[in-house]
Parts: sequence; C-alpha cells; structure tokens
Amino acid sequence: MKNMKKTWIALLLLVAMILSAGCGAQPAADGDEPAQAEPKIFVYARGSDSISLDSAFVSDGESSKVLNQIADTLVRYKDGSTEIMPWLAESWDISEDGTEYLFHLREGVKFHDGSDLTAEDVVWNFDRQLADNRTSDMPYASFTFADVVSVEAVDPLTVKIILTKPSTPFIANLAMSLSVQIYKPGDDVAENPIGTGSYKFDSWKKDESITLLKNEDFWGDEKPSFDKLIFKVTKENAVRATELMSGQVDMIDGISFNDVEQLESSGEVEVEKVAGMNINYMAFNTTRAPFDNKEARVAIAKAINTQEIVDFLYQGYATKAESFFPDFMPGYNGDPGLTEYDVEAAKAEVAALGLDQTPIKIICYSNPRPYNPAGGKLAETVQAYLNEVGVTAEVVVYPWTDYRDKVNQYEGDIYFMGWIGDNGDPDNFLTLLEGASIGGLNDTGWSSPEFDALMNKGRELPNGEERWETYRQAQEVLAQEVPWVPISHALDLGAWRTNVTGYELHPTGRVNLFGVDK
Amino acid sequence: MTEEVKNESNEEIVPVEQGVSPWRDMWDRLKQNKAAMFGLAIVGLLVFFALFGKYLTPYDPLYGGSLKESLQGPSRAHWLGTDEQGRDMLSRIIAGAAISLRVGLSAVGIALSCGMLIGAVAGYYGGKIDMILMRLMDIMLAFPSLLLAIAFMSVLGRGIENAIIAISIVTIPQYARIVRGSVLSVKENEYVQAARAIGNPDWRIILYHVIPNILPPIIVRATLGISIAILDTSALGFLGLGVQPPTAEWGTMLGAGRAYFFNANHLVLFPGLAITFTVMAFNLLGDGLRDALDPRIRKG
Repeated sequence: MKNMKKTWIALLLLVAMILSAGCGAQPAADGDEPAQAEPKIFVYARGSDSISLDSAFVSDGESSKVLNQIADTLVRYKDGSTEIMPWLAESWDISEDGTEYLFHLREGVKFHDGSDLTAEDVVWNFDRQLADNRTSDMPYASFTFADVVSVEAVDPLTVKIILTKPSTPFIANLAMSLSVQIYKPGDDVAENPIGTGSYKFDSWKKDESITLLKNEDFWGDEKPSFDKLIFKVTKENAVRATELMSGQVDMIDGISFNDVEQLESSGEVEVEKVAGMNINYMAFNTTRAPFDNKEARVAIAKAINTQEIVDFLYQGYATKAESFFPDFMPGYNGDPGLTEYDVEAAKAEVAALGLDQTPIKIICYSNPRPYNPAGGKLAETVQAYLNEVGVTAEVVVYPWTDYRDKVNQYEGDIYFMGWIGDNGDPDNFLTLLEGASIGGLNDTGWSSPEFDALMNKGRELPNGEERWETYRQAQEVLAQEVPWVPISHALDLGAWRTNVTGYELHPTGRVNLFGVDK
Repeated sequence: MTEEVKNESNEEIVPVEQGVSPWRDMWDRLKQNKAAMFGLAIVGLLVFFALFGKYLTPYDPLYGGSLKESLQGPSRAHWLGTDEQGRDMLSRIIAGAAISLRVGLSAVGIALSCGMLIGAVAGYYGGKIDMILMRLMDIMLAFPSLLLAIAFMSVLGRGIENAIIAISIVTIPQYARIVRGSVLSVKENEYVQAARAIGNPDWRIILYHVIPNILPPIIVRATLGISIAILDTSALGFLGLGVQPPTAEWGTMLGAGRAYFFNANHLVLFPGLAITFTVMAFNLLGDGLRDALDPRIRKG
C-alpha cells in the first residue's frame, strides 16, 4: 500500500513538472524579439504624506514635493539658487512705474489631458486666490497677492497683472512652490490635478503613497526619465534610512544627523549636505520686564555661546549665524555688529541689572524642527548658559501644535523659533521683525520706526546695490536692538542611492525630480 | 496545687510563643527568600541614593556640564559617560533615583489612600453605594492605565507633581477593588460583629477592626504598585510628557537619548538599566512579601 501511494505521488509530481515546464517554455518560444523593458520606477521616501495636490490650499513642504512634479509655475528658481528663470512664461515686461506686468506664455505647452495651455487658464489660477475670491484656507494667498489688483488675459498667450504699488519681491514670490502652480481649471484640482509638469498624477493611497506617471508629451526638449514616480510615506527616520541602504527606495529626506555616519559607511548611499535657507533663533518677549529693556537683552545675548552650540549640540550640521539670514542671499551683512559671546561681561551686567534676582521663563517646542534638529534640547543648553551667569531660568517645553499659541500669547520671557525662506529675498526673512507683523509673525512685540522705514524702502526699490544696502542697514538696526539672538543655519540633508544622477538639493527645499535619472 | 503550678508554668510559656508578632514572623520568612532580599538590597540602595544622592554625585546633575564634553563614552572622569549637554550621566542617574522613588511612593500613597477609602466604604456598606462606586472604578479600569495617564498629563501639563497626580488617579481602582474584596471577606467575622454590637461607629470599625486585618494583601499590592508607578513615570517621560527639563528623570533621559542610539548608545543603555533594576527590585520584593504573608504557604 505504502509503495503504491509513493508511486502515485511520484507520478503526480512528474506530470506537474512536465506541465509547468511546458508553460514556462511558452514565452521563451516566441521571445526571440527583444522582451519589453521593465518599467523604470523611482521611489522617494519621506516622513509624512501630502495634505493636498492643489498648491492654493497648502503651506507645507511635504505637499509641495509632489505637486511640483505635476504642475509648473510661470517662473522658476534656477538650480542651486533663488535666481529667477523663465518657465511657463517665456519672458515678461514690467512697466516703468513697476505696477504692470506682462507675461508672455510659452507656445505649445499642453496639459496632461492634451489641451493647450492658454492665458485664460493662467488667469483662473490667479483669480481664485485674489482678495475677492480667496477663502480662509488658502494660507499663502494673502502673502503672495497682497499687492495684486487684477489679472487678465490680453491674448491667448499674454497675461497682464496689475499691482497697487511696485513690489520687487513679487516676481520671486511667483516662483515659490506654493504660490501659483498652473492647473487646468476644474473643481477637483486637490484630488485629481491636471497640470503641465513632467509627471502626471496617477493615484493616491492616503498615508501610504502617491504614484505619478511619465508625461510623454512634456513641453521641454528633455523628457522625464522614469515611467513611474512613487512618493512613499515612511514615518520613522531610522526605518527610512534602512530602506535606502537596502535599496527599497532611491531617495529619502528628513535625515537625522545621528544617522549620517551609518548611511555613509554603507557605501550604497550618497549623503548631500548644503547650506539651508533657514535661521534658528532665540527671541525675547519685549512686551514686559525684564526684556523690554535693551540692556537686559544684551546681557543675556553675551551669555550664549552660539559657536559651541553649532559645534557640539548640532555636531557641525549647522553653521553659526552671523546675521539674520544666510550668507548666500543678496543683501547679506556679514558683520552687522551682533553681540559677541562674553561670559564675564554677561555676569557683571546680569548682576548690575538685577537679572540674577528675576525668575526667567523660557519656552520651547519639544520636537526637532528642520532649522533646529535638537528640538527642546536647545532650550536646556541655553538654560545652562544662563545658570552660568547667575540667571535662574525655568524651561517649559510644549508640543509644536500648542507651542505656536503659547508664543502668540507672550507666555515666555524667552522663546525659540525659526524660519525657512520661501523665495531668497531678504524681505522674506526680515519681515518677521516688522512692526506690522506684530500679532502675526513678529512675536517679540518689538518694533522700530527706523527698521520699518528701511523695510518699506527696500520693498519699493528695484533689485540692485541700493536695495541690498537698505537691507544691510536694517540688519545693523536689529543687531543693535537685539530682539533676537540669531543662533544657526541648519544644513539641509538629502540622501540617495549612488546610482542616482542629476539631483541636487535646492536652497528653498524645493524637490524637482525632472532631470533625475538612475 | 501541682497541677495549678503546671498550668501556670504552661501559661508562662504560651504567651512567649504568641508574642512572636506576625510582622516578625513575616520578616523571618522573607529573610530566607534570596530573591526578595536581593530586591530589598537594591531598594535600600535606591533609598540611600535618594536621601544622600546630592552629597554623592560627582558633578552637578542639572547644570554641571559643558557642551564641549558632550556625548563622551564612559571614562575615568565620567564613569557612565556624558549626555548631549555634556552632563555626567552617573550624577544624573543618581539624581534620578530620588525622583523615581518620590513619584513611586507618592503616587502609590495617594492612590492607596483614596483606593482604601473607596474600597472600604463600598465593601462595608454594600448595596447602592457599592454599586455606584465600583461601577465608577470599572469605568476607569476599562481604559489602559497608561493611556488614561497620558490624557491626564496632556490636560495638567508636564511636571513631577502632575505626573504623580496622573499616575495615582489611574491606579486608584486597582486598590479600591482589592480593599473592597478584602473588606467583604472580613466584615462578617465575629469580632467585627462584636465591635458593632457594642456600639462602635462605622468609621471606627473600618479603621480599627477591618483595615488592620486586610493589610497583608494591600502591602503586597502597594509594593508591586511602586514598580508600576515608576515604570509609568518613565513611559510618560519617554513620550515627552514627564518632567520639565533639566530634571534628571530616567524615562526622559531614555527618550532624549533615543536620537543618539547609533553614535552614543550609553545615553540609552544606562537609564534603561536603572529603570530595569529598580522595577525588578520592587517586583522581587513584592513577590517575596506575598509569599511571606500568604497563610496558605506558611510552613508548620
């Protein structure tokens, strides 16, 4: 019996083998012509998902990463800088008084659905964000279109924009990822965007991945390289780094500097570090004692060793801030006269001002931010510096979501904050300390007529030495008054497999995968 | 006569034997349990650190560092290395003992007092009061205690006091249930009935006649409860909901060190070991006490 069973099983196996071999041989038989190439797929892993695919409704970097590939802007930043270059608009004319812009659109640009791009489409994208039409959930609209009166189509390829007053940052604002991307007019841009970009939208699995497909009819001379582009969400930093090392993904962002050594030593990964367009700062609440007094602010500033913070707390993954925005931006003042670190002078001044008798409240966010990868640990470091000069400070840390409100309500005497530049214009950074921004972006409560006058002047001057000089003076005012202690500029980190070519990190944090190959 | 004398001499011996108090008895048996004694020794060491730690720490645990010395591995100058602020890890771990013990003891103290009151009232009076109180406790027990503690912390804000409050509130039901059960088992005893018959008020009966007789299970529960409270504090600290910086709390240190896992793992290792040993010590001691106090496994 047993033997019989065995024989049957052997026979069955034999038949199965023959059948499967036959099936397997089938494609080989008519496979003499070259087999179709495997689709070329590129996977980009990041920490969280997009919020929307419509640029008008988002203010976060994650959303911009995807929509940048799908849609285009009229003008664009050059690679590696914030200089403006033509994109959907081939050229533009600005009127004598600086209030009228004529944009000439590129010919032959097609949307993903095959229709032609016209001036009317551009007008639709602007119009919905203008003062009369915008809704409260368009976070950047009031910033980008503050001075815009009207936008109209002059002919199918010309768009006219009229401003209330000359505004030099306006053209730079148009290149921002989150200002006006040009979509085919429609009601469901957020879910099903039709753009003119090098990749077209395919599908979105919330909190998992967004898949884009190659736009075969892309208007540029060069064509996109990948058949499929996938933006994958991997929440944990360490897991994302492991996925990159094992080759499951091609590129990642959100890299902790503690993982860099491991990534680099794998030999499979290239880690790029570039100066980021950001500022990490400590700010004073000047609405009440003791920091309504400039001398108190100066005394504290002398106690903070920013070089040591950069070298040890950030382990060199940041550069010391010598002014209020990074040195590669125009109008930068390398020596505005910031308060120097001087612990002995700080001790004497603290004692003279009675700051050693004043309890100080420091508030900080708990989690790492792009400009401050150490998160709340920065506040602890500052607390120790203050202790050294005799100041007793209490540190209270809040989750980021609660923290913004606490800062707005003037909860602390000292608080920490940072800024990531949008457009490379000095105005974009310095506006954080304008009197007009109090209650909005200026949480110090500090203002100065002299500084505000310089800012207004700078906004109306055309780009050039005179404008940059105005901003250099503005930085000197700030250095004198010390509403902030500028600490550092964090390096931007990006990592990809060594076989990836044609990618570089952009100072604005923009992700542009057109031109990337592997 | 002789018989009477004999009787007297017998009676003289008997009181001596009965004079061995139950506590003495328990201690004798606990002494033989090696694991429990090991636990007790660590607890003793912790208490010593908590009381005299501030004279022992080689550096100031809060501000005694310089950034220049940050993230150093163990060395002769810093036996357990330094953290990201350049502070001595050994000093911070010693300082952390006081915080862990303080949270453990206070949280259990508060939870035990409230739990004992609720449990005793519910068990002694029974009926509707019992129904209402114990259903309330059941509702609280339906939530995982850590989740409830997180909810309390997010309302109260960070800080040691708030952690103590949060942890004690969420552990009240555990004590209330044990006390109620024990009260139910002793309240029908004759000595309780007798106390009631001679007109003692209820509070007096509960306080002097019921509670002293249900102490053993409560002591065991409380000892184990301390380890749970310490573990919960660490969990809250790890999740960033514990104490405010620069307080040296073990869970917070562990959470802060997590970012340096690849380049300075002593930041995770030592606070982790401190938590492990402390929790283990209280558990071993609690188990030993349970065995020593359990009449069923009492040897002839």
